[in-house]
Amino acid sequence: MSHALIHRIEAAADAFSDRYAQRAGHLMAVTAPEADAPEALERLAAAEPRLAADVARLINTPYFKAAPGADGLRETVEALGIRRLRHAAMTALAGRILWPAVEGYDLTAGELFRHCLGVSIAASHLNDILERPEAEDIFLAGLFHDVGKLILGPFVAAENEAIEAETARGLSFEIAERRVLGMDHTAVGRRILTRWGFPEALCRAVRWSHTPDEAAPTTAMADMLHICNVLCLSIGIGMGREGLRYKSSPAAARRVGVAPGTLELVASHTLQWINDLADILEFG
Amino acid sequence: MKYVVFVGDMKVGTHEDLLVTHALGSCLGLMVHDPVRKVGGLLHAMLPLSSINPAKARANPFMFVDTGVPLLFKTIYGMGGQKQRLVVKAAGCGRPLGNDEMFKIGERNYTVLKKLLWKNNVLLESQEVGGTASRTVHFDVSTGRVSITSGGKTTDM
Repeated sequence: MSHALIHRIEAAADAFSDRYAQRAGHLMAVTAPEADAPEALERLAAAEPRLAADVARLINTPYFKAAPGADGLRETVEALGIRRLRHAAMTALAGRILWPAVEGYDLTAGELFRHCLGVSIAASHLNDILERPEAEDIFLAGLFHDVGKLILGPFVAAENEAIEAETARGLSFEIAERRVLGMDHTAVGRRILTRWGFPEALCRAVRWSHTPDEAAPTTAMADMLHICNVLCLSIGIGMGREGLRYKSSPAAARRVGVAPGTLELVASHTLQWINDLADILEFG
Repeated sequence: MKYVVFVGDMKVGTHEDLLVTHALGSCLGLMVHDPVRKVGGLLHAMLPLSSINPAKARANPFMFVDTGVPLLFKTIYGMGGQKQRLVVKAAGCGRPLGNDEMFKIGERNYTVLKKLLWKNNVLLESQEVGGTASRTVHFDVSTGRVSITSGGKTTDM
């Protein structure tokens, strides 16, 4: 690991971040909590018609549709509300950003997005069960928690042997990344999301999504993100070549008070929702 | 014909069919083959017990080991497979690093499978279970050959 390598990773992260910062910032601004939902969708359609078309399809899925009997787009959006419209808009954006195959982690096209979507849905559902209002941004945190893999992937591929050697000693994959490359994909993710202007609590949750015990202070959002990240990897949603070489934190589960049965219930609900939404955003 | 078996899914095939499932982590991959009738099926079950969500189990019994495994066997019997000839192999049931009770889903999947097989006097021919690897299974129904690809290496079961 060298400082030159870290600078190269940071430069790649910043260039990537700048490519999408305007769109991400615009979506956050248009769907701000005080905005009117139908008006926000109109503004979105004017600025990004294709993305708005994806949003219109997403909000008619069972996962998003707030009023099954709602007739017409305006009524559907009004019932949905601005918070969920933001989730749908960010899901559409995440689909476009995260869809490509990711070398280094051996993820085929669509797999990174399916994983992030899965974590997002599972963590949001877990938060509904555990009722932790301070983690209200957990849906967005889940959607982008692995954005750093897009940047780090080529570096992981180039240092494959060294990383494998570290994990062969029993280290988890993100620690191996840190030792060999100087930073792991969660640190890269935090850097990108911070530059996009995402809330600090969300960025911190992403940073500590593999090691929530290291967050000072620990947060419910990081804990739930961690649990649902390991859950989705365990059930094979977006599991790359690193497999399950990540360590789960029993302390995180204790802190938020989640039991194995609750987690399995969340998993049973999540799978169908992922399939429904990912199929809509099939970018082929 | 190649069929991909997704998470919470089961596919059966005959003769030249190839059944494939990707990214087995803690999920159970169960392969059942009748070499005489040349029929086979592959189940990719996610969770051990359907009692956690009976409504989901009714909608998709392949999500759970305790509902998916019996249905896989019944389907094979319906295709002419006979119990005494069946070759049964299991893969997956892994878990993350550490010893966290929360994520012993794979072990629970395997325990429920073993109980079901034991109750019905069925033996596993071979198994490739546990650990932290991501496994991809290729099941050639014409020969019964099952290969596991993990970490860039392929081995026969």
